[in-house]
Amino acid sequence: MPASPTPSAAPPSADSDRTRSLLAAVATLAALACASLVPLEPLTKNLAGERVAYRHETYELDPRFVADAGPRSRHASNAQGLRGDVIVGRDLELLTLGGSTVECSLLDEPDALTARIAQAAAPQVQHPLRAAALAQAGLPLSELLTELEQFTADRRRPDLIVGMFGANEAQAFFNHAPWVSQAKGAAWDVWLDPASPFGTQGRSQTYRGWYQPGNHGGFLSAPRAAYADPRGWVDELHPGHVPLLRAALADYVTSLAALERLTHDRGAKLVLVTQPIAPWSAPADGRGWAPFVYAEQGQGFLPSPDLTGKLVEAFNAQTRGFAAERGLVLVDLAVELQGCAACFYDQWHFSDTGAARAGAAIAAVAAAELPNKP
Amino acid sequence: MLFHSTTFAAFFALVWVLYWALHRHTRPKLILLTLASWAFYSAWDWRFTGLLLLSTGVDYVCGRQLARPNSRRGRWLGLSLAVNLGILATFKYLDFFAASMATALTSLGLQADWASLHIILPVGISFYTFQTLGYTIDVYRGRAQPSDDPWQFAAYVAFFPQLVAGPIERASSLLPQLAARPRLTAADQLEGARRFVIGLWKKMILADNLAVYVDWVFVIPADQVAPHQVCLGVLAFAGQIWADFSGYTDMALGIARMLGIRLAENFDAPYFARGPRDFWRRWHISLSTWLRDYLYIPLGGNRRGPARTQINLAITMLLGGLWHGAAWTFVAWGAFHGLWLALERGVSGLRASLGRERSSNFVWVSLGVAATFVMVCLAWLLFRAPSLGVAWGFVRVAIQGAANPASWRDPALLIDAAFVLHFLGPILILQAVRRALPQPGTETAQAHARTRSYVGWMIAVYALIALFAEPHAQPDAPFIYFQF
Repeated sequence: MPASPTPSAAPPSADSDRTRSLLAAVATLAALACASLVPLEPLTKNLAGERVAYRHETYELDPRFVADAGPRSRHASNAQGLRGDVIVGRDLELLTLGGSTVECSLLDEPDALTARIAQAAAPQVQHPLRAAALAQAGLPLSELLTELEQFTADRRRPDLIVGMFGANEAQAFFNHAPWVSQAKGAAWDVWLDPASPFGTQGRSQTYRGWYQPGNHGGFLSAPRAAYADPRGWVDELHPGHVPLLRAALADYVTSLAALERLTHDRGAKLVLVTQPIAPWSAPADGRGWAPFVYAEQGQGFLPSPDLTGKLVEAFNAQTRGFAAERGLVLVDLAVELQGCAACFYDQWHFSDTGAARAGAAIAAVAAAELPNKP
Repeated sequence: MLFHSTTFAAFFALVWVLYWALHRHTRPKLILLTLASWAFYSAWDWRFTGLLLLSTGVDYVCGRQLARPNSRRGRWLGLSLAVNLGILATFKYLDFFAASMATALTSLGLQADWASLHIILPVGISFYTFQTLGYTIDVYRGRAQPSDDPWQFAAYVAFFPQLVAGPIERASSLLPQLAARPRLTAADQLEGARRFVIGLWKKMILADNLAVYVDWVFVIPADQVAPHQVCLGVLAFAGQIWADFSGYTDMALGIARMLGIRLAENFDAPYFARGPRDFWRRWHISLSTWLRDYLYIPLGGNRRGPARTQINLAITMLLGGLWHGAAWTFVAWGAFHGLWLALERGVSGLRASLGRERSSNFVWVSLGVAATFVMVCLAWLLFRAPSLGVAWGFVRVAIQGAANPASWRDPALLIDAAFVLHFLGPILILQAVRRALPQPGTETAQAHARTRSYVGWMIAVYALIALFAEPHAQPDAPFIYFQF
């Protein structure tokens, strides 16, 4: 005898089927929405103000020019906008400040300056250091101060801040000297290196945009070409530049003083580092050349290597003088790495070798400033 | 030309208009599809289009010859196998084997200073060679009719939605669809667009954001990586590779659907599998069924006793691993799965001999699913690590971390975990929903058709919102499976 159908075995009506389907769809949406509520937003504030969670960058270098950086160099900026691992709370002990020479954007993570300082200092303080780099290519100290203020506004309290400045200050002076924006034919136009065979158009190719993923080291070609002909170099400052330079140096000292105050307010110690620069090597000599990353395209002039050295040295002299005056610890890296061609892959930026040497030199001094922790 | 690029959008818009303008005329439509597919492939590197043409030409001729009575069928099949496997061996494996041989000889103290040939791997080579090989073998076996139209066959080999990363289509499924006159329906267009949007979300939001964390973790030296980074990195990679590959597949299926063609499904909630066999029924289905039909079964399958079955499984998975890439990590990944499958088979046999059935209790099923997911993740570590040494180093860190709870008291743990969970959560939800809803072809599918449709559209709406609301990490990131 066939079993009589029970109510539960009856086929569902169209309405109940639709209701069930709608409920399933809403439940799916709710589940997805819940997953998206896992907090990501607080992590997306980085220096550039971009809306990213983690930012990962891969730089492709031509090994012909960058022998010890490897053909593919990669690093990530974490959600806090810092290069390296995520740092939270009071565990951050060491913070490096600076521009691209501190960021070491073309080096692999373990080879970058901050990691090298942490590695070299760890045995001396007898515990692993948590270190981060608050650094961004092209930022002078005056602009980094705002970032540092924001970064340490809540609970983040590094024990030690290591600042290396000078490159971007000199760079800003090259780029933003007022004569550049004068109308054509004005007195300062002469300083737009009229002898340059490349002209403004040619020089604009040597500016930003080189360090792009996938360009296979092509970024080095333009500055190599620009520096290949010394006729394009500006060898000395025009007398009219001197007061401008004095003003730039005074501004730099004011920024150093602001940094010292902020560091003191945050309960951290400050170590200053002078900006090293590579010894001149002609582009044809084979070493990679990316001499100047201009802040704005088509502006600025092309200082000779000698003039560049003098300008950076002028800023370094302020750093030394300020440290001596305020009794701050100073690492004179400009002297330490003087003449070390292998320490740089271009005129400014550390190679693996340079970052290791610089890291060891800074750690030798900085470790003594760090509190010993069990 | 990536599916998620504006170049592709312009390309597809043009192809779509011309395709539907020509859809009543089979030959011009096939010529259009073929030329468009070749142009699509040439966008990566036009030089490798020659390989595609070679494979197409040889297999077309072989297919025709194989269908002729009294022809030397074995020789024609041999020619097809030799050409396709030869292309694959040369372009994918020659460098690898030469380098491995040199390393082995050097370790024995013999001079082996061979320069690497630096052969570039043509994109999609593993997919289209397997697809055309499947065609000639099917024709040889009499399971597929040979194509008598060279344009139809060329379109079958090079059909651009699935050319570079599958699904690997069977001739019996795709060839008739290409020959048929498609119907332009709103339902197909909407469904295609829906799949495409979901695929776009999976790729651009879920996979590419997880990729940033994964790439970040896997460059940390093993002696510096934290235990939580290893675990979260592997979890993130499990999410990334599924979202990347199934995202590509969704886009491929969506694009094909907008051309009136239905491609095979490639995934069915693989992270809710129970055991390795179940996993391979749900992960890269077109490859696993290809390997089953054209490798495992010809090797003897399970017809030659338990020991031979285990060996056949191991060989199939080993070659399946090697199919993914010319590196020892892929070989190890394949071997891991082969051994795991063999182990499961052994346990199943033992259970059967004791007369015990596999428990369907919810708790046991859940535990089985969780254990399978852990094993799959362990295998992904082999797959993703740059070398076996790094993989082993990461495993050691995880084991040491498990033994030392203090090492987990890392303030970064919560931030990293929140990041990974933010993107991994939707992946697990999607798969849970897929697992819960019977799919077409199953007994109860019809009763759940409406639910499937509603849920599918809700996911598409969410995906569309997420595409605008969520961060985009790497707008031009290629698909992982393009390298295979």
